[in-house]
Amino acid sequence: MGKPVCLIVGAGPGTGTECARRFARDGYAIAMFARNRERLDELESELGDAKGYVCDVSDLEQLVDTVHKVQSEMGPPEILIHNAVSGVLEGGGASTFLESNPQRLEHNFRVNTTSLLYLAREVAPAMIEAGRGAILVTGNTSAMRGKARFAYFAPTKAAQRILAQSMARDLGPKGVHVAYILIDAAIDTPRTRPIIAADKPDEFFCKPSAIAEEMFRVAHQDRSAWSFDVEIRPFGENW
Amino acid sequence: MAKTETALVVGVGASRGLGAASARRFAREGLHVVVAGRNAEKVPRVAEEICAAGGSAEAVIGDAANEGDTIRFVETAEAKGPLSLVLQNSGSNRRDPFLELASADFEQIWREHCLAGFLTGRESARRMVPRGRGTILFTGASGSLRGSAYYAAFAAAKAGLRAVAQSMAREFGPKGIHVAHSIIDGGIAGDRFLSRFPDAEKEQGADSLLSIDAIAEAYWQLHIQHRSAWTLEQDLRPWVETF
Repeated sequence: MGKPVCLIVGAGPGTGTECARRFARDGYAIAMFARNRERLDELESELGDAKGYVCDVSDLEQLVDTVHKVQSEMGPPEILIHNAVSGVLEGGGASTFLESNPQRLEHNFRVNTTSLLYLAREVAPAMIEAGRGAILVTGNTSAMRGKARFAYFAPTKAAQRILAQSMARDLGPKGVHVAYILIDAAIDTPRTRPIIAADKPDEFFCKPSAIAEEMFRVAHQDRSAWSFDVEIRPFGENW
Repeated sequence: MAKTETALVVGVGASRGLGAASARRFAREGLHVVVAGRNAEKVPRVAEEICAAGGSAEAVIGDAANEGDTIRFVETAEAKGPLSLVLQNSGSNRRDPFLELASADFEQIWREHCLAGFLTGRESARRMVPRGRGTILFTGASGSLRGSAYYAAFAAAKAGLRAVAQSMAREFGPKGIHVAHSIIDGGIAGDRFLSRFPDAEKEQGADSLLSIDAIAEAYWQLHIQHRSAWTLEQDLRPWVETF
């Protein structure tokens, strides 16, 4: 029998990459979606049993086609990690409520929320048939509160969490574990660090490898004790 | 040689219970486990079983809501080695029509959950903070988040305990102490539930009750989380539970 497949949508340089490494380490074949071919190539050669697919998640037709490609080339995913995100860094920029373009909300909603629905509809049937599977969604505190400058982002994360919750209640009794991992922190990636807090110490950040460890743990919980809401933050976080 | 690290589980009863399962899980990792509870017959048996299985454990009898007893629990653990992991799991449940709920019963439930949690938390933190490390876990319930009809005493006590945990987490996180609260949302397949509903799992299907070992595993995983990604709260429920 082949290795179980873990599909990571949003294989960015932080959480996505570390999840690929963590799940590969325990015997998963990794399917990865990202816009950047270069990083996918690097991960493919690093991980061995992994395949990268260039995919723009905001193009829903392309997204579904790419999932079909994974299913025929690698097999049906046993785990889906929805880590695609759009607009997370806009809050620090010029996106004040009055200045930003309302179309940003629609775009962010499609990447952060609608794509989860499309992905889950494609991968859940095989999980239900197998009687097992997990859908893990990464979120942040915008799922719980709309801060100033986040008007074009927070509503999409709140909707994403509620969508996941609705899926969890529907798919749970069918054997599919849906969980929302809320990361209350700045994640330490080469991209976020200079923008969010160049002057902060290491302790201010959530380490992507620690997040991946938590994702792996949640994906392998015994079905008699499943978590839906999982929140994690660095020990020194002020909240 | 460094002394063995110790764990303390407050609220241990039957062998087939969450406290005992957690104690077994912690002992499997090489910790010396102090099991604390009120029942002078059941609690020592849990410790004996751990020792018979090759682990290291001892029993202390006492009331978690009694300040002197709680201090003794912590001292017993510290005498064997630095206390690195504490689980506060004590307390009972009762169902009362609100108009018939006696004030003494309301207060008693609050003492078992909320006051006991505060005492265990404070005494443990007093030892852990100077060392800059340690984990303090609390067992919560769906009642921690909502007051169902007939459960005013339990829900008020559990909501209070949750606030204690949250307040501790915010104060002690930056001092290196991981405080975590787990919302157990479902029937637990232990003596307390199964003695009242012996056929529950047969009627509702496989894994429809929370396995005590699965919860204990989730507790252990909280303890080993990296401090750059700590969980304060997690919910745990059976896959078929409606919520």
